[in-house]
Amino acid sequence: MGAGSVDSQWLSLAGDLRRHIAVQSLLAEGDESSELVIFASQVERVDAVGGAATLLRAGRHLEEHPSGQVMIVPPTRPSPAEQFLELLSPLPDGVVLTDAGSVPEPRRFALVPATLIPDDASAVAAAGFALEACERARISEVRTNLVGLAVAEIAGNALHHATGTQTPPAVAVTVSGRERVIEIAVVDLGTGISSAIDPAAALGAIPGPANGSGFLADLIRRGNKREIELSIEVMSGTATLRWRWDQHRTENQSFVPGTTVLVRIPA
Amino acid sequence: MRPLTYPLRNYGPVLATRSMGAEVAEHMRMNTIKATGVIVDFCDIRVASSPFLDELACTLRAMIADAPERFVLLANLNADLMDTLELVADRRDIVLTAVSNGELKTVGGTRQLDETLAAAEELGTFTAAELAERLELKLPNLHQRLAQLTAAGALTRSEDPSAKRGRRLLFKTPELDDRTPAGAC
Repeated sequence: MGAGSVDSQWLSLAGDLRRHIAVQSLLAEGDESSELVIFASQVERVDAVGGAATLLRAGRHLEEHPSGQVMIVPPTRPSPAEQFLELLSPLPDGVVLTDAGSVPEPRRFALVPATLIPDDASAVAAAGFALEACERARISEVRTNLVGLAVAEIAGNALHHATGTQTPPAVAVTVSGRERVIEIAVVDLGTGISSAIDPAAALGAIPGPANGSGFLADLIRRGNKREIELSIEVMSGTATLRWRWDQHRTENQSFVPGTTVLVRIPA
Repeated sequence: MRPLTYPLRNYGPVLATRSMGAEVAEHMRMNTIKATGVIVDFCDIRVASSPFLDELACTLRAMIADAPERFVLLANLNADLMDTLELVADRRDIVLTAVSNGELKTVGGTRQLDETLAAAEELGTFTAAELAERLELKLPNLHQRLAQLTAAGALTRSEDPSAKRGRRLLFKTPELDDRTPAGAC
């Protein structure tokens, strides 16, 4: 984790940069110095959450330090380095990636690179981009449509419901493995659920697909209708909601800031 | 006068988020007030989310209720859009009308309602008694279906000027020429 210096703040990351570890490692602490160095050379595994959380950390830093800079040192191992590069390219102004190779085209991992979503139009544009990326990657129309909807709606939802933060949410979409599992991650820094007295109760109150009327319930229902058993994980504060068609359960965990929604769409 | 086509393609291939749905629905409502019929055209729309369609469906219901003398149809709905719209309609207890290859079909309606609509299409312009006879139904049983189809934008109703005594309503399905949106898809 971070070790401060006089001029720049260092954030050292190693091993797993996925799921709640990524959110914890990247977003738990604020930045005092105007220059942030994210030292990820020892990272071995990264996912859509890791990519989105990295960009969100950079975005938050640049908001707090408008004339500051973020330098990212990518993983040294080729496979995570390539995935990390795909997730973070193109980089926003003020963020520099050292030792960066060229991004492979077509991208093999990041269907949608980590992207900040400042408004509804950006959420819909990201969804349009996701549709095209899925088509290029020859993903079935049914799964493609689920990806497009999930990106637009979850990012839009985060935009409107993430209270207590000025930093916009970040979204990223990846495809990986022989089965080409798609993961959509939306990470925000809202404190509404994460700082609630009982985050598990707040997440547990999200209505399930049996009688739920929310978008997440609809997404599961739509997948089920097309025989795609997608799953949703929502992490916020000290709670995680794990959700499949017939299972909707919350668990306690170590604290993560903000809210992260991860949708997993199997083949 | 030809019905007015409201093309959703102007908003891109993805229709999503409740706030954008509300914005688009309001624009649609304001720009179709004077139309004699409305065709909401989903040409080139790939996907639409349930919150977006929920806003659209609620506005369509209000538009139809405000002007029952005109029909309102949804055109060029792909299977994915139809699925989501069915879900939204079912939840809100709304029935709307889709047109595909010139044929009308309810969205969110029952099988009986679709059968009633098919019979109404065959008659074109009719009184409730004529349709009841066609369907071999008692008139009171038909009235609810006629009310649902009118609220769905599939039928228009007007006073029958040829009625000799009292008040009689004439129902009408849109002409074939009026079921095609303007512009190619």
